[in-house]
Amino acid sequence: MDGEVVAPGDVVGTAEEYLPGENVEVDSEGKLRAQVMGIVIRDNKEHIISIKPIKNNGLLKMNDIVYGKVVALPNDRVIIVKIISVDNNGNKVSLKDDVTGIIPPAQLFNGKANSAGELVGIGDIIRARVISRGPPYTLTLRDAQLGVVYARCPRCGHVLRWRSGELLQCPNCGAVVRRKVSLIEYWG
Amino acid sequence: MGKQPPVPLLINGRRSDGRLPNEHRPVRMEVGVINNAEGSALVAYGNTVILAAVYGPREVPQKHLELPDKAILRVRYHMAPFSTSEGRKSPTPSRREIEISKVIRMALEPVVILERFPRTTIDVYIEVLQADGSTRVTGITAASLALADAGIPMRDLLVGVSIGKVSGTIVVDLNQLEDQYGEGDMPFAIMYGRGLITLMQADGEWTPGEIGQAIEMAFKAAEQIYRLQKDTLKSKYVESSISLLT
Repeated sequence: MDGEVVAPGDVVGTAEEYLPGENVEVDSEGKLRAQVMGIVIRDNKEHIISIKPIKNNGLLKMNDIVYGKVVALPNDRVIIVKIISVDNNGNKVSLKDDVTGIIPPAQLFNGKANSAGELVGIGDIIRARVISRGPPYTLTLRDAQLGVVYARCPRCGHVLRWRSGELLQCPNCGAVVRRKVSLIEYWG
Repeated sequence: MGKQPPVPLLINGRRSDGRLPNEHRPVRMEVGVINNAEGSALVAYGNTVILAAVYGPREVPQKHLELPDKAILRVRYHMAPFSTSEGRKSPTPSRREIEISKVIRMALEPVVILERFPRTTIDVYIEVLQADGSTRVTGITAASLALADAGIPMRDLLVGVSIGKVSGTIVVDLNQLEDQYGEGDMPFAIMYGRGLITLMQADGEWTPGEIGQAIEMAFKAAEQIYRLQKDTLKSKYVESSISLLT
């Protein structure tokens, strides 16, 4: 009977048979009921019954790689990011609805930063990893592959070019800016 | 009772549209009708046609509304300007629409497992496309179907059924005429699988015996709608589930 499709409220077994797993709950009469539209998965060794949902909700999971825009640097310590897309095996999938992400000062890079503004600027697009359930999601930049992927010159607004290491240069006015740049990706 | 109905509501045990007192209007359902919504449903009880769309769980735009331990449910019941037979209805939410939105929200809240998505919102939009009585219960049926289609965890599917009193007889599923000229109405929202009621309102005068009869009739009518809801949902997903397993 594995693989049958159930709707919310369907009885999938009794409490004597199985323990309720994911998306299954016991009602007042001891019946196991499905909570979502999905496929029944019975683990006969562990006696656990669970439902694999057909639709997964649009929320982000832990360790997802996300792209977002820096919208604010309150107190020059935390970074507030508007997450706009998720990385799915190298493809950027845009989210239906934007969600907020927060990067605490300790998650900026492997070292001590005096201020967040030294390493990212408002309007930068960053690549980050999700480290909490949310929303709002806590993000981290503590990885060489994570960091700024697109930035504009704070002086003239021209798109910055990557120069070396953590330095970005403006081809228009020559200004050199320090950023926590992602080492695998820079769009400028 | 004020005005006299234009046609007699009950002659020889038949109602103005030829139905028996315990006969429900034909019910039609479809899910997944709106592409951009997470889940959607179109439900018709006879000439009452309602479209429901569910968005979310998503971030709450107004931060002060969000709850740290569970999601909030926001429901908007709205009648389209062309939905009524009496000319154009103003699209601004009327006092009645705001109240029905709240009533439907309170009927849905015990059904949806909101604790699963803290600090988010689940938005349910119920649009009445054609109104011919019993719109709030049709809206509840459509909303629960859309929520299930969106993959939001629920304790059971919810069925809306309206019971009314016409010329002293208890009837099921009121139409516009019976709603307007009848002696009373009693909308129900029923979690049929668990035998629970999450909404029960009443208008008019009812004796305790009549209420018992009304609840019995509501459950009887809900059974078929509940089965149809499940069949509609499953028939949509049987194909996609095969591809999921392989």
